[in-house]
Amino acid sequence: MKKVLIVLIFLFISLSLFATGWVLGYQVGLDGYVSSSYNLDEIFQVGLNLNLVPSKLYSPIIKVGTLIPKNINKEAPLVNFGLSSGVFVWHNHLLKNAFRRQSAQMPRIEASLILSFTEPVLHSASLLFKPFNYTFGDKEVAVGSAYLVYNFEANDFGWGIRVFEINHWLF
Amino acid sequence: MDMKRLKPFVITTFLILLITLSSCSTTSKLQKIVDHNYSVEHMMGQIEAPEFESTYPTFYQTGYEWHKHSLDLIAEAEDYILISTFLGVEHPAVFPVWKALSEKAASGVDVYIIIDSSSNFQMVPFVNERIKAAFMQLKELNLNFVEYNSLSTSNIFLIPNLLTRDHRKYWIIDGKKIAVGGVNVNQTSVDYPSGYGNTDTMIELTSPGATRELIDTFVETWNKFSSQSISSNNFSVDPNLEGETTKLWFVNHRWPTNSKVATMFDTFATYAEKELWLVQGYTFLTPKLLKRIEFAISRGVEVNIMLSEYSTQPKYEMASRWGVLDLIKAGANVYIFDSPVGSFLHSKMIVADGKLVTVGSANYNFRSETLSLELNFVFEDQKIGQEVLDYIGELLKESRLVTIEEAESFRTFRTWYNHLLMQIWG
Repeated sequence: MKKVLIVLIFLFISLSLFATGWVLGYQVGLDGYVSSSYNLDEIFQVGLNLNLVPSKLYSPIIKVGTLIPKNINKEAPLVNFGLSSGVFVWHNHLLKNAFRRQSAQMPRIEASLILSFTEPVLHSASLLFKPFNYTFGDKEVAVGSAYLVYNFEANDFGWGIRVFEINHWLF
Repeated sequence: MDMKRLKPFVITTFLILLITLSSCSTTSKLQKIVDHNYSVEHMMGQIEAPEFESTYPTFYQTGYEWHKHSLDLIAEAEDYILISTFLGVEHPAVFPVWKALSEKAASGVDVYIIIDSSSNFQMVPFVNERIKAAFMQLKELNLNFVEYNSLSTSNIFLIPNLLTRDHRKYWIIDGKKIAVGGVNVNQTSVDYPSGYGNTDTMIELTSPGATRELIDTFVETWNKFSSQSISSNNFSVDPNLEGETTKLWFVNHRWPTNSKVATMFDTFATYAEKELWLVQGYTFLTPKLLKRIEFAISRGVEVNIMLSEYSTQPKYEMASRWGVLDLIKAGANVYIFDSPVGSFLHSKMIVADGKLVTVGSANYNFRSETLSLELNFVFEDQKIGQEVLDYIGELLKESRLVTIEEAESFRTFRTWYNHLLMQIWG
């Protein structure tokens, strides 16, 4: 039974490169906010991406993840649900010679709802604009993205910066 | 706990476990194929390898010969050129290819190139010096390329991803000519030794059906790793097929979802009734691979395996030497090709009873049966079989039959360790 299980697990994680188009991937990012929603420390973002139209570069992506404050003892983690979409694709972008791989600049807009981890309370909503998002086919990297954040509890707006973000397709 | 001490143990255990678990092709499975007298058509149907009409293949038997011919193919191209190569490097020996492609692209011919990320780890033969992958050079030459499955840190979350490599080597020219085989676009393949390269095989032929299949394969792979989508519809295929024709089976292996190479090997082992030739420089034996050969021998088949001297990476040579004793004890004849010019035999050819032939990228090893993407063409044709046997006859003139004493001398800790390592790495 153990052997079968090991083989099945190995097969499952080896399926990743063989689907037509990418479906599922992971994301990591680092945020900083000036908002009543968060304190001023860094917030790490980890999540999963689901590609709605795997064969299309512009495909909208559903994002499910968690925001983990640097000082997790003082501030609870949050859950975010988002929808991201490419705005346009620029193949002949200014940094194309800086990357080893063929790349395209594809600015993205991402709308998210952020909930409390422990109870079903809507914490905040955010709109993220990623002008410097670069796609490499199986991977996207964004730097210097800007947030607009609305805090439902405090009923006010704030802003933030996503310092960097890596999205890598796995399956 | 000292992790450094544990590391070799963990790696060794993992490899042994993997090889043991994968050794599920048994004698009974092979016996069943023989008992049912399954045809090649049936076996290829089992793995959904499509059958296409094609012209007879033209063989190119050294890396340098193919290199010169590839320059002619590039010069002839008027519409598009699609190339997929496992290794593509930046080196004066192959610069004429990249330059010719760049000039063609500048003249309006669509050129797309897929290169595996393993190209980043190529070494100068017998020198501890790295050869750069071609990516930056291709960028400077304004060529469209993708790096297959980049070996980047963001890819570490699924280790098998890093091990999956596109080992296929194929060319598509204007939808008229296609070529498959073992020759990479790197120095070792085409110019080591200088002016000769590897003793390697590429076959070129015309087959509208296989060309369309190959284009679809290329486009699918391209679109997964490129920021620039392309469509199969953009690449037309010439429907004309002139001259004498034969049939080929298109074995496009993508483990585990589309696993084909092991069944292809089974087909050869069970098809042969008299003689089986494996020209396979990178044979890294596992119990399963050995069992297949033992099975053929048990049916009275004379099994001949040709390995090679002059591997540019000693670890590969050591790895292939470990299994020689097992092969001889099983009753196989093992030859080692000893090229007078010091060329490594990199061909991947199998021929059964002088009729069933395969040429392509698949080695007779665990990696080709599993983790690597491979492409082979299979022919059931006496004429092609004879041509390959004639060629093997030429290779035999420069080969020696390994004695059991010599095979025993190969059994050292280093050959064992490299044999184990190469199951995954090689």
